[in-house]
This record gives sequence, structure tokens and C-alpha cells, in this order.
Amino acid sequence: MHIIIAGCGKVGSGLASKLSREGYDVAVIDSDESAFEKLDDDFSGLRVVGVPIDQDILKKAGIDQADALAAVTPDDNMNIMVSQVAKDLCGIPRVVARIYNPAREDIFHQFGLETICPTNLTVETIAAFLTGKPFETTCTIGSNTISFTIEDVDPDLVGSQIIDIRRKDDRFIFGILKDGRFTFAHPYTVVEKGSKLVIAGKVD
Amino acid sequence: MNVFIIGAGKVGYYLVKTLLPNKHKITVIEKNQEYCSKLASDLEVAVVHGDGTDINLLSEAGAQHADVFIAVTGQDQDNLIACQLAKRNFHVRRTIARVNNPKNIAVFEKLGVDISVSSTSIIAEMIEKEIDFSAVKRWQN
Repeated sequence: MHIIIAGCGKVGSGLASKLSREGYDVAVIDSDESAFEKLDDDFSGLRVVGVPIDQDILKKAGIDQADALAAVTPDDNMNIMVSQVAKDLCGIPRVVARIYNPAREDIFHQFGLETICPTNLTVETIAAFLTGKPFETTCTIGSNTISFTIEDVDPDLVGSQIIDIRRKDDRFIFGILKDGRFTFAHPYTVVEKGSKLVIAGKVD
Repeated sequence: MNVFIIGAGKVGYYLVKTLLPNKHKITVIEKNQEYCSKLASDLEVAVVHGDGTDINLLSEAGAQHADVFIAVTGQDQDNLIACQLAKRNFHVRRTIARVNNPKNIAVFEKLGVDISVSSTSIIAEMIEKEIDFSAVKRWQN
């Protein structure tokens, strides 16, 4: 599997080093040659000096045989452009762009780009920590986003079976967390004291 | 016509100067404060200081009312994204982008920009034609 990483900053170099260690065929692109110093000493992939929106540079990095590309330069617009070139023009199946600006991430996500917004992730994580609100994670399945949250068990529900628990919202009990161990919520599983419920729901 | 121009460097500045006598309503968005001040003091034009690829700023500046949207910054990626936002989000009829790397002309057109202009490739084409022409002249002599 050939993977291209555009941008060799902290994230790009970390990503390239990790994937190379795991045995993937990696090419990393950066316009500043000294950026490659951040790569692991035993990084065995390709280092390409140049602007990643230049098609000649992408060809040097092996875009014609690439299976996946991550655009993680410090410039949002550069990442969006590289991703579109890789996805729409070169037909790379897995492409992801890092976009710092949440409004811009939202728009390009709507336009069909796989995006990751560190700003939103950091805000949500820190806000959850500060307010003591429970953890939430999301994953995209098809065209929907599914959110998972963890709730404490209502004392009244201890001893009930999952099938008998009626929720007021349209989310449902996906699993049970007991002493940090996850099990799926089968209909006849009995909720024990001290366990937590993993709740799943569709995000509009 | 209501014309939006992103970038007030040399190209943007002279573009405004050229279009102004034709009675267009022009709005310019420029990141660099100095370029903004120079443009605003020299010419009768609405200048907005900020990032022309910022959706909120474009909306406040009234991009939804633009008939033509022209992105002429020195960064190809910014010109592309600005035009894509104009087209997809603000439904501007005509988008024009300056392309710095001539290889990006095809890329821009495939990614939805209506017209992409590269001064480098225009000059290169003229030179090629000039060479052909002088070869013909030499042959005639």
C-alpha cells in the first residue's frame, strides 16, 4: 500500500514515521527540505522536496500508484486543493484533509471531502473535561454520523434487562462498560451496579 | 455589474483601476493591511481587509450579490478555494482565477472554476508564435 503525506510538520512527520514503521510504503512531501529532519532516523520512505499542489511533485511522490493521501500542511487551502486533486483528478480512494478553520471544514466536508478539524476536536475535548460532561465520539457510516456517549446507569435501572429499558430520546443502548471493559448490549443482558451505558445515536 | 476581486497585489490593483471607469460596482478583499490602505486611498472602491477564502467574511461583504468573482492572489490554492466557495456557496455565475503555475489551468477547470488565466502560459504561447513566425520569415528570405 502506497501512502502520500503532504506536509512534514509535527503531524506529517509523525504520521509518515509511524506508517513507515508499520511497513507501509510512504512518500512525504514538504517544500522545506529541513522539515525532513523531524522524520524517524530509520524512516525508509521517499522524501520529496516541493509544493504538493504541483502535479510534477505529486508524480514524483508516486501519485499514480498511491492508495491513500493525507494533506497535513499548515495551510488549509493547500490541504483542500491537494485533496481535491488526489480524489477527483487522480482517483485516489482514501484522501483526508486537515482543516483548522471549522467553518471551512464544514463546507468542504459537505462537498464530499474527508476532513479532520483539530480545532473542533480540541474544543470539544477540553470543554468536556472542564465541564465534567461525558466523553463523546463520532464515526461516519455511509452518509450518516453516529455519535457514541457514555452515561452513568440510573440507580432505578440496576437489575433490569436491556430489553426492558425505555429511553425518552431516540438513541439506544449500544453497549455496557464495566470496570473499563466493553460488552455489547444484548437484549437480555442485566445492567449491574457500577456499570456505564454506551449510547449510540444518529446525528442530524 | 457587481464584481468581487480577491487580492489587491499588482494584478488586483490594476484590474480595479481598469474596470472602474466602466461603472462596475467593485468590492475588493485583501489580507494585507498595507495593500488595503493604498487601494482605498488611491481609488474609489470598497475595500475589505481579510481572508477572501473565509466564508463568513465573504458573506458579510455580500458575495451572494456578485455577478463576477475574480481571484487574483499570488497563491493558486487561495484562488481555487475562493472561486469554489463563490460558486458553490454563494452561487456566483462567473468565476475567474489567476493561475500562477500554468499546470494548474487544467486542474482549476476540472475543479469548477469557469475561467483560469495564467500570464506565464500566455507569454510562453506568444513567444512560441513569435519563434514560428520568424522561422517563416527566414524561410521566405
